[in-house]
Amino acid sequence: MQPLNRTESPVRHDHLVRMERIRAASLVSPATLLITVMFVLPLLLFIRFSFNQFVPGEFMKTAWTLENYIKFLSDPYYLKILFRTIAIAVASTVLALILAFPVAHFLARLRKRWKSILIIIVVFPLLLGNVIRAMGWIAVYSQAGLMNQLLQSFGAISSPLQILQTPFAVTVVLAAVVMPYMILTLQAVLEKIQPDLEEAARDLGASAWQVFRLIILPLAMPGILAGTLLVFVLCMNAYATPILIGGPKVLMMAPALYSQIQDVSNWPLGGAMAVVLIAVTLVTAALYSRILSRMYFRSIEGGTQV
Amino acid sequence: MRSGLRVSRLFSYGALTAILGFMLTPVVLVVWISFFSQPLIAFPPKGYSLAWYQNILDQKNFVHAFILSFQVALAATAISMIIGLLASIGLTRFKLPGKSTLQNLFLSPLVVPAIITGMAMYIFFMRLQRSMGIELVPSFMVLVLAHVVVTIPWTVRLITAGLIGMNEELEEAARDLGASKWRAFWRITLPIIRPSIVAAGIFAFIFSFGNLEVSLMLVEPGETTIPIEILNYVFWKMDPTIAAVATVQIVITGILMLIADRVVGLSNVF
Repeated sequence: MQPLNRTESPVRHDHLVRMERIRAASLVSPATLLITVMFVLPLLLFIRFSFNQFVPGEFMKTAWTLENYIKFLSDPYYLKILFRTIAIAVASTVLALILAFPVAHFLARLRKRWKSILIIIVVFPLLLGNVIRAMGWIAVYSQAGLMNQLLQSFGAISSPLQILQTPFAVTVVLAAVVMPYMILTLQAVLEKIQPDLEEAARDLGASAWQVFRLIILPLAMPGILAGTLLVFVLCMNAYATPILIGGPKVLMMAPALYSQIQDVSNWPLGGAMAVVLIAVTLVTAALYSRILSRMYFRSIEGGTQV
Repeated sequence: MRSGLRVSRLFSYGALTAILGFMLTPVVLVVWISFFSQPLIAFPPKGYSLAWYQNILDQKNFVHAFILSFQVALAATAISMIIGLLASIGLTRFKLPGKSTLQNLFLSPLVVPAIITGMAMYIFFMRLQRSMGIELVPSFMVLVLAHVVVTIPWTVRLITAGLIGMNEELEEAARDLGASKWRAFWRITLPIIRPSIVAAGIFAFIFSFGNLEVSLMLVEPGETTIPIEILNYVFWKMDPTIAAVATVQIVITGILMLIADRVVGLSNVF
């Protein structure tokens, strides 16, 4: 930040500061107004609705009640959706991490020209949106899809497998959908690790596995933490993938929430589900990041003592 | 030792190709299917045909959806670029109390699940509509403003980065030579950060054009955007017609992305 007009006399300074603030405020005000009216206020209203009373047939009554939260948290049907969402999000995050790491490591060591080409390949699916990618996965996994036809032509199976509408399919596709984010986050951290460090360790007789476990992994930890957090949140909130790949059999939170509003018009319960989804995501993310960063710092300390 | 290294390198290239293939398979498959000659998907195809592309033009709902998506994305991008640029200048070139709060506020739409954002907007404007007596959901205006919310984190982030990254001394030099603050900005700063602004516009357009979740509640049943139209179709069946529609979107997005890469370099954005 630059100091204000350095050459002005102190007498005019106060006035200038005020002018400067007014100018700055007017510059940021359109965006602030838009986000407030279009985003903050609607969210607050939605949260407020979660405390209202749902009356079937006559919409809802203004109230201050926790019954929507109690209904959600005491109904096994909804709890199952919540736990399924968490389980699939965790599995997809782990899968995405495992698959993204080698790509990110490779990317971080590439020369600039090749790197920008590979980044285009990584980013492109991201920009297409989830619907088109889900469509491609339907073509892979459906009864007449590529996977079943390949397996059948090799004689591995005699009749097509039901792969769509299973938690497995949703997990794999979600992992593929969020992988670009994981690769980009990991890559940003990995490219800062000096290649000399790895070479030096190799020269001193460390195996590839030792180099990975003792050098790359600890140094990449901030990236792993950031990447897994981001991807976990995205998986928790996923809508298009679960609805197209999972269907009604593998219902997750976002589609269930949408149907509460759209199909049943139960705004209070929908609001409560939204609050629960955001809260569970935030709490899980916070716990995870605390545990992991504690482990990480301990391992760093241990490293320096040796 | 040498050959061992080569084998492991070969192995890692193989694994890498497999993983990238895993990411790109769906996109490649969609494009491939759009050229299949038979309407029922089977591998390998019996033959190839361009009939499905002609088919799109006959299906008014897809044509309308493309036009609506285009209009919304264009309007949202224009608004988002203007207010994003103003906000970025305010955030980087002025002393402003509560600056980091504001910065977080502009990025906050990225944090809340898009589906919740869309529903909250729907509920809010439903309420407003009832007390004001004008139709707000669905309306073009609300849809555009909702897309501005979706894109504002990207425009603010990219333009702010451009303003911080440039050499501010150039602006000061212009002012020392007697240019007014606005003139210095217009003649010096703006041309320098043009790549960031162009990139901001392109990404705003791409993310608006591809947005599904926020739009879902804010459109009319017969007048939807292209991602919603595709979703509704794929929900029931997957065939070369819808693959052709998707391929059109893939091509548009691809061209825009290559332009953005030329202007700023994608590795600087993500």
